[in-house]
Amino acid sequence: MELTISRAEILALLPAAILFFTGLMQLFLDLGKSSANTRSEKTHLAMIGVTGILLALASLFIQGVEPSSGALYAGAMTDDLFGRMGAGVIIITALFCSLMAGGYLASSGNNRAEFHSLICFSGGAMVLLCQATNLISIFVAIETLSLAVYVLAGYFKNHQASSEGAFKYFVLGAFSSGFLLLGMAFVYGASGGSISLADIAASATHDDTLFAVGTFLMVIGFGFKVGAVPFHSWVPDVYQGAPVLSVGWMAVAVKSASFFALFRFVLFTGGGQILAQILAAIAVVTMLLGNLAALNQLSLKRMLAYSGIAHTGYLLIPLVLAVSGSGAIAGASIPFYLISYAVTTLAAFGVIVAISVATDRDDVQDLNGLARTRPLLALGFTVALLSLAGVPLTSGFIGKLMIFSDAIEGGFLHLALIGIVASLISIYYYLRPVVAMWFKEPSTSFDLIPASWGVQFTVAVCAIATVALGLFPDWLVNLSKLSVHAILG
Amino acid sequence: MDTNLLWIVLLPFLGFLINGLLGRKLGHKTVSVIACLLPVLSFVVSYAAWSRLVDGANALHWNGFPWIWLEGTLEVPFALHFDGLAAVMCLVITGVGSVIHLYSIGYMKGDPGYHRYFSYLNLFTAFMLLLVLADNLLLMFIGWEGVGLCSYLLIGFWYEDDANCAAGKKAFIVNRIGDLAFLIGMFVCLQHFGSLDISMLTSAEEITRVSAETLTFPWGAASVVTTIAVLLFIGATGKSAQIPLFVWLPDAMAGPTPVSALIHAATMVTSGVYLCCRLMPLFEASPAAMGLIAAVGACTALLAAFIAFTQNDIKKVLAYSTISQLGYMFFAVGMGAFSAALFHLVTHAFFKALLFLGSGSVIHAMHHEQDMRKMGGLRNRLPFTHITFLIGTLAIAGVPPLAGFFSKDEILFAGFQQGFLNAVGSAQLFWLISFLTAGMTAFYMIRCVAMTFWGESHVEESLERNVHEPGGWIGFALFVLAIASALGGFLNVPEFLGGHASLGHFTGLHHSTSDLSVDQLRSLHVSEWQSMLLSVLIAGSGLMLGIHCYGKGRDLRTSFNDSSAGKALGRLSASKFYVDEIYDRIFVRPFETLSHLLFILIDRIIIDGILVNGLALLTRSTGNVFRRIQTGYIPGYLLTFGCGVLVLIFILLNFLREGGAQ
Repeated sequence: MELTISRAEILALLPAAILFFTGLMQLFLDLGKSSANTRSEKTHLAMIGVTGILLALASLFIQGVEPSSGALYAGAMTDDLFGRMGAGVIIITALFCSLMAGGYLASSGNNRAEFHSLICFSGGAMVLLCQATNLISIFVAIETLSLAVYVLAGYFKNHQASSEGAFKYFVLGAFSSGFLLLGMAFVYGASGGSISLADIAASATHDDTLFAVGTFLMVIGFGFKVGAVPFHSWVPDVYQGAPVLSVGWMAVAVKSASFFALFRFVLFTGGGQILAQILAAIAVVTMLLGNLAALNQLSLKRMLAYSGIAHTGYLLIPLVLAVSGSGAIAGASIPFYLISYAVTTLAAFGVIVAISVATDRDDVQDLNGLARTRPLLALGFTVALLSLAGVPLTSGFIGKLMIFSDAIEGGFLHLALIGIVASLISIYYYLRPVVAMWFKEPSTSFDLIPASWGVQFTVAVCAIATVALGLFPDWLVNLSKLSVHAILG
Repeated sequence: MDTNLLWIVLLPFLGFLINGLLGRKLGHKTVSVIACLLPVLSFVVSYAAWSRLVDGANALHWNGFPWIWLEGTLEVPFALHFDGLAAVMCLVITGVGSVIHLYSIGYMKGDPGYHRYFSYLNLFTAFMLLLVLADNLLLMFIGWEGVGLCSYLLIGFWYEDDANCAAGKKAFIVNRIGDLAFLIGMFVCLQHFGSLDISMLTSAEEITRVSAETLTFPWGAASVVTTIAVLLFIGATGKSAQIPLFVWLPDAMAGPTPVSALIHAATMVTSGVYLCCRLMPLFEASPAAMGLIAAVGACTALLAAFIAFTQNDIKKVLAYSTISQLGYMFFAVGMGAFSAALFHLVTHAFFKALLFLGSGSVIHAMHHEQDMRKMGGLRNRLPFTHITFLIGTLAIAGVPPLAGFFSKDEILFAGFQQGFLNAVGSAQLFWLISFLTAGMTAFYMIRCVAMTFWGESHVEESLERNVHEPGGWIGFALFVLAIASALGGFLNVPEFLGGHASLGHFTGLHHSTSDLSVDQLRSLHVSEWQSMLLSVLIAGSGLMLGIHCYGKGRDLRTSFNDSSAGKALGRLSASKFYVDEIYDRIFVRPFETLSHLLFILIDRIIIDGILVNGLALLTRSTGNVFRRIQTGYIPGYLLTFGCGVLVLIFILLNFLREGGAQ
């Protein structure tokens, strides 16, 4: 058999390949220097990381904005707009995480190459996951990124909570991978032995029990990664224990990549009304539980963990629509919402990184009077929280508006109503930090180390992007629609 | 396309932004410079635009940008229009406005809210100019609401005092009632004219087309044009303090005195008159509405003048006088003499601003004492204020050749012409009313002068030693406005006195007399002479009677007390016809009772008790339950996970079997 690799195939692999290579470079260059800890000694790590990530980002644009969507590598992956949007979210998130990593790690005495390179490795795997179009490549990508993220979660190996969180994550993750794999096996069987999504879509019938159960088990596997109820129990513990930056990375990149892959899968295969109903139930429970459990959280990280669960719930609504066959309606909201969620959450985590560097804690009380000591950080955090709550003029509002109006259009009025009620509840806990920052007296022990410029840059850019997307969402909405319609053909 | 027009509005707005945002840090001097310079610049720009009109240019227009744009149904541009009428208004607003800004530097010196005051004042100027320059009703409404807002903010400027806040709220709410009618009027315009552009609403063809249409109400049919005119006029009664919505203006005197001069005498309250002039063809097309306007105007003029007889607060006298003079303007509008209405608007802006600023000078010198019974004899202490105040008084009384003489004479003649030359019965009555009011005006104004400046001093001794003429900007402002009040009448000297009625021609509101024959013109001029002599006579008798009654320091009520009829009349005037009390009984109290009931039932019990607190309790307790489930043990998590999967798969299979069975 003759193996030829086309130009398109090389280009498709380029972003992931650059990321993997960057990670390797960082590891090699840090050999023998792992004991050094200050920021200046490790600047090269961040420099390499940022350069590599920027190159990866640039490589997304090589073919212009209308990449081919044909099957590459014998149907293992594709290089369409949808995949590139996913890759874009992940690479930009990686960029901000790398920018913040140096200062954060140095302050906790753990500034080693592993963290930087694990971001790049898992980032590469996520890019592949967004592009994957057969069961094998999906599984390989998801396992590669999971392994890297397990390590990231337990990166502070001397912290008990960090190690405990990582262990829980690993055990439960292995458990869920089992479901994913079993689901894939069922789907493989039900579709008569095909692994490519296109072939599965062609041969699958929704009435087939084997196929329905298989699809559902696969959804469970992904549902674990994105923290859907009842597969969410790891989220709060891991978020609280793991290093803040790893949490930010997990909250944004892992969730985005999983949703991009899951959505591509259900767009291809569908699933039928029954599966849609069950997913709708999961969405309802996830939205409600996420928001209700967040109400009484005083730890910022835990609060954001539950808020992340709630946002998973909102994101499941377009998924339900896609499963029920209304993917064309729901399409645009997924890429848009994930991009909006990415910039918003990054802004929020930027501030939490600054707080935890300064105080090593993450209570809402630690924010008291932040507006007086560091008004710009407080402003950025406020914008992020308002966007998470879905207040108009922010991207979060547009995202929710799209999801809820799509739900109504697709015939799932009750999902939209519950989503709106859940959003209302969420305003309560999103406003608590805002009140603390702007209306409380600074606590006397509050002594914030000046946030590193990486953090400031991240918060500023992401907050501005949040507002900008809230004011001028048109171009991104259109791009999102274009990407989904390209998949549906 | 003239972008300069935008600057007329933008400059004062800029002042508002700078002083509003940074005023606290800028210091009084910088604040004053910014606040006064920008309206002056706006005046300069207006003047430049005006001189282009004088040179024969057509109306200037700034096309702006599409503002509210629903293709085919509602297309409203943000556009400005500068014609003769707008030019006169702009010059009055920025001219008198600038003088009052300068006056305020002296008057507000040392006030803790100094920058706040000036930022509001600049904002007001900007909104007022927007109102005047707006090319369509909706944009005008923005200005209309904006000046209302500023009026509210400035009436309640000293918000520490509850009474001031209440006055502000009263002004705002009463205005809202009028605004509602304005809004409905706009809706009717939109429905029948299909546009809110003023050029459309005043075009002859459009009005002819629309005047054929009628609207059916429960009480009968009315023509569309009349409906629109009446609705807009009701809006105008709110802003311009006419019956039945005049009650807010006397209370509005709670604000700083320069505010009363600018907003509640010279500019904002005249915007109703401006609205009528702006839409002259529309109003002229509805004789019914014109009759109503004339009636309301004449009655308001009489009522307010009568109440002014017995007021002892110097600002209240001026407030009722303002209401009365606004009534004159509306009377003129109702008589079809739009040019006279605008002329009186301009001269009134001069002399009423002068009177208010003069009273402010007195109040300032008296350390915020406003009761005229505690004044008297201030002529010696405040000679300059006395002279200027006297000029203002003579001007408003209509003594030739001061400003008020020309404008009031023109209005009275308009009534005379309608009533006797055209033999309209109702107009005769209204003319008589306004004729009497002219005498009453002279009377109560001379009473005000006498009680304040003449006779024996009733000032407390400790205070009296400190009373002295405020100099600086206050004196300057009085000087400028005194000149304007003395000479303002020459802007529009009527033709029979050898003038050219230039203001009327310039604004295009004047009805041409060129189609009259020489004989007709001569007989018209003869009646104009007659009317003028009559009005000088009545003004003179009012003044003489006032000097007779108060010159010796007597109070009208004490001399009236001899007769029971006089006593009753005096009491009626002093009680302001119980209008406030009647409104309180009919509208305010039932409304309050109802809203209190709803507050208890719906807000306290249903919303707060059940919905808010109940739901909050429910959500919080559920949240706590969820938090407890999170134990932190892996086996527990695995159990949730596994059970969840099992239950869901069970449901899935169950459904699938049912689906398969069907």
